[in-house]
Amino acid sequence: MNMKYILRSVLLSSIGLVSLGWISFWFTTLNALGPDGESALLQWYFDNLVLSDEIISSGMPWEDLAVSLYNLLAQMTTALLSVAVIAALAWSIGSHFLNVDAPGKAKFYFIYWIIFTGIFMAIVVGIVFWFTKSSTFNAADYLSGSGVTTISIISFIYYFLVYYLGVLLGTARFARSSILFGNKIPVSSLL
Amino acid sequence: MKNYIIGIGGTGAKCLEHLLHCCSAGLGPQNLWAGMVDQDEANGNVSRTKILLNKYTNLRNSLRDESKHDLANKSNLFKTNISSNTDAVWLPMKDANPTLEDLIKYNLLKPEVKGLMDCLYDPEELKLNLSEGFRARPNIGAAAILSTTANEDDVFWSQIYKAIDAARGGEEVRVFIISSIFGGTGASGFPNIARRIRQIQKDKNVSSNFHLGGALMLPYFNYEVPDENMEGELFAKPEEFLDQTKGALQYYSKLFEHEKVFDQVYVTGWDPLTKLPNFKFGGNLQKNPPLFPELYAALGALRFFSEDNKIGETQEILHIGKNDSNDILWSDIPNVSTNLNSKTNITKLIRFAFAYNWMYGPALTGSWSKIKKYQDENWFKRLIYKNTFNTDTKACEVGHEQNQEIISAMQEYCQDVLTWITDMQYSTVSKTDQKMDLIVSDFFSEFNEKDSLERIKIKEKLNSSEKNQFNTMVNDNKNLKLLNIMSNICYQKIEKDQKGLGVFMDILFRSCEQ
Repeated sequence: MNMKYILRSVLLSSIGLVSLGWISFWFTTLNALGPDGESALLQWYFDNLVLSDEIISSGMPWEDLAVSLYNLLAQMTTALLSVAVIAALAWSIGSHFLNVDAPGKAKFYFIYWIIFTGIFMAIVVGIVFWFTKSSTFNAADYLSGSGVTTISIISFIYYFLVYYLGVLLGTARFARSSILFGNKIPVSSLL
Repeated sequence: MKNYIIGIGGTGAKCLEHLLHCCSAGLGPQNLWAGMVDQDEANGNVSRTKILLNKYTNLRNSLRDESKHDLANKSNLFKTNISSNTDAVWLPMKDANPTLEDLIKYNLLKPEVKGLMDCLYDPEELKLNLSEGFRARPNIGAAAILSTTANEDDVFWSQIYKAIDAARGGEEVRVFIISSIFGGTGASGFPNIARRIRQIQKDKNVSSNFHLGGALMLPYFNYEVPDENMEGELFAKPEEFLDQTKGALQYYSKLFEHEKVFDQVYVTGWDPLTKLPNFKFGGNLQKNPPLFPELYAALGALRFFSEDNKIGETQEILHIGKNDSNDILWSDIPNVSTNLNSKTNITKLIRFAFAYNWMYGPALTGSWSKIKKYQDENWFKRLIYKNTFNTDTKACEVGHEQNQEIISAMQEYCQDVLTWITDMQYSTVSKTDQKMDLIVSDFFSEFNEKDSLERIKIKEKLNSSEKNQFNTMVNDNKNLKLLNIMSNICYQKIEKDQKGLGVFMDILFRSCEQ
């Protein structure tokens, strides 16, 4: 397989990943830096993600719990972004090895993509589940049901989109019919 | 530079067949005029080459039309602009059922001249119907060719006159003649046509810019003559080939000592001789297979035409070289020049022919309703849709009759390429202890040695396991898969001047190499 074409795929996939992935990177950085006493983010977490009443009644200082929550979210988003990047790059490189040797054959590999994407989403679910139910972080015990749902839904949608943009641009040209709407990409020497 | 090639007799025609395939692979010069000389106009070898020449020129004209479909100058596919007369074959004697007796007007000769003719020719030679060639009688052929006029009005000779005039005008002109040294037409035509060309050159006082080359085919095949119904028949007897060759070589040795007829002579032969199964006197049933030594002659001609070939003052005689074993390998095929690798280009053409014939040609054949299922695929959008889209009708016209004609003509040509290489490989080594493994062809073709009309049958369809053998088809250790070709056609750069179907054809051709 021509290495030049594979490197091109890696580059295009990276562009796709960066186009949305920077938000995750920024969010991770914010969380890694820890809570800032008066930030809107901290307030939003308190209002939407945690069991506020239980925290107040337990007498645990919110500031201490917030550090743990920030840490949890920083590590979870790092893991999710890493998985999305690895999955998108792996598919982009691997697509060059799909045996699309005849006209009309690419679409038969759609099932491969569905399975691959299914595995990716299962990993995303596993990561979210592990972090939100983990005993490693104190904050996990105080996450509300609606907070877990919010984290899960945002993670599934967002990291799927990051991954999808990565594979959409990175898939080998001849295998584009194997991914959802891949054949809608316009013909261009840049793509 | 102007180039001319003349294939004399059945062997000359067969060598031209190889040359045409080499030109389609990009090994030829920019332009070439091709002609054949054979008294046996209906000869199967000659007509096969004539048909191939027509296919080549028609396809090339269709794909090198700047207004519609253009492969563009940079493309090596069908690079050589080959032209020929309306009838590419020159018949030395144009009457129906000619005889030597009629030609020399034997009955009107003075008794003493008649006596001389009786010494030179047997009565059956004088009365022999020459419509099927000179039947391995160079003495008849020589008389026939020398007795015809070589004036400027003759369509065939007018080309030679034009060539010499062009040389006088300062343009570099190269003329190449291919024929066998044994047999009838070739043996008689080779020295006589060459000397006549030199005579015209001398008459026109052209001393520079004009070069004459030739390829002489020494015996490289024989055949078994059936015992029945052969009494009294005149025909080429294989047991006489070596004696005829010996005599002819002695003649050429003396001729070349005294006269510089050729600038370069390429001498080709083969040992052991290939055994052809079907004997035919001549005519349309004489369809001999393409054989490997003829490829040497064709490549010799292309080397002669190459701009890298600097022709000196002395007459050069070059002969073929091959590895010592009985195996015929890709490395035995000489390059045309330092820049033109024969093996690379021929293997590219073979892979192109396969990929087009079984993978892409069928996908592009038919009406738009059948073809449109590929419209979302990158290769189709990039190479076909975009380049056959009519902005007035807002429709892709790949299914239109004119485009379909080109698509099916290319498929036919690809089948000719596959038949040519397969037939050459099977037939060259058949019934000998040689081995020729240039390609593996048994998975896409069937060989029937006894069926002279259709020795090779190319399978109409291949199953997926047969298609998967593509990577091992050419024995050059490249392991190029159909997947690599699909990948290449999606990424290869489209040249600026390419248009219409020329875009796809060139990209597919370029994609057939690593």
